[in-house]
Amino acid sequence: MIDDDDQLLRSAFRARPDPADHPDEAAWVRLASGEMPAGEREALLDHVVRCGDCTRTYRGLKMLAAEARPFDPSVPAFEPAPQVTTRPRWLAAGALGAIAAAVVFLLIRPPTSPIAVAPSPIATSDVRSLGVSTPMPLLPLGKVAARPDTFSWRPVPDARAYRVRLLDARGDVVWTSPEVVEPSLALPAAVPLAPGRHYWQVIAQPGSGGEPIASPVVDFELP
Amino acid sequence: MDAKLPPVPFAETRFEALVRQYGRVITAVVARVGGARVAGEREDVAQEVLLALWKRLEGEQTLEVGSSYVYRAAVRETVRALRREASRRSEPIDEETAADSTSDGPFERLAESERGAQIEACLLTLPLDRGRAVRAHLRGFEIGEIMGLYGWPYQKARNLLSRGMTDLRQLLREKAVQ
Repeated sequence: MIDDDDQLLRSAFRARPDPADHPDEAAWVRLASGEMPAGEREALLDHVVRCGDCTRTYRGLKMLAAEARPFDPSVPAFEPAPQVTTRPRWLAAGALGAIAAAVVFLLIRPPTSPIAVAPSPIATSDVRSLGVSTPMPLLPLGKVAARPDTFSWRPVPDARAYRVRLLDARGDVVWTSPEVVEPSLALPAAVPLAPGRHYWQVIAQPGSGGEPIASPVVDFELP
Repeated sequence: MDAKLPPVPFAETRFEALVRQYGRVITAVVARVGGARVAGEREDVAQEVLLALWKRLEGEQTLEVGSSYVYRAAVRETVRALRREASRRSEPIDEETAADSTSDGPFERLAESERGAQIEACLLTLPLDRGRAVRAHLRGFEIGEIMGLYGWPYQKARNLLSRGMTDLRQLLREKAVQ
């Protein structure tokens, strides 16, 4: 709620000339890509709230990220998640007590039959609701120390087979694997991998004969 | 062999579509941030933005064409487009700012600017986060935006702003500038 008094203060505050030390393009890119260390980010935002032009740039980039995310999943979170509120001490003490009691119970309880603790099978509908009907690349991801020798992924129910597709930094396909049944695959030594970024995805072939299901494209980077 | 596989990612058509989508979004963002004054020139802005985005992507040395790379290029182009719009005309960029102004002539504007300097001097004496919350509020950020700026939960942002504004008013009363 903004009252007249606030409006006068705002007007006077905004009448001051903008500070001159505007962030450069590279700084904006790092901010919008979530790559800026916390201290530097706070310093940039301290400038933003003093500067009309940079307030508009900040709002514009926030809109850009929000509107690009539906068609470009690579867009990172623009703002940090809110800090978690500290819980009262008595609650923390209670939680510690509960954990201690649980540990004591587990230590002194009589052994049970393996049959009694066997998990019940997960229904297919539960699996689908968890979003596991798409294969998910697991490794390699991000910066890797050396050429990966294996690709692995989270399997999907009802898949008959999988194929891996490997792309170079230009997006050209450098290798498509033969079909495999297991959720992992060795990378043949004959496949050339240059230093730098590579992209890959796994494609599940459904046992029912439907359309292939492609995973998201992920990347790894060779030194 | 690839007949049964889905289309290759990053193929030329997908890349082109991505750039076009970014071009549309940047144009919309510039129009919204620029307000009424850009609305009449929207087509020109759209062409300018798309051309500049293509040039940027073609001119870079790197051959990496992943979507995150296009996003970064789009961020740069958005910053440039907003700067172009800001420097194209010297009057206040949005109607909100113009409506906020209570000044009429240069003398009144100077007096208001001096009051603004006194407000800033008062804010410098507040605890750091209170000063941040108040500056963001006076700049026009809503409470939800202030939370996002500094990663504060609602209650913290609300308390900092409320206490900061109380402090500011008290300090201004003491200086008798309000």
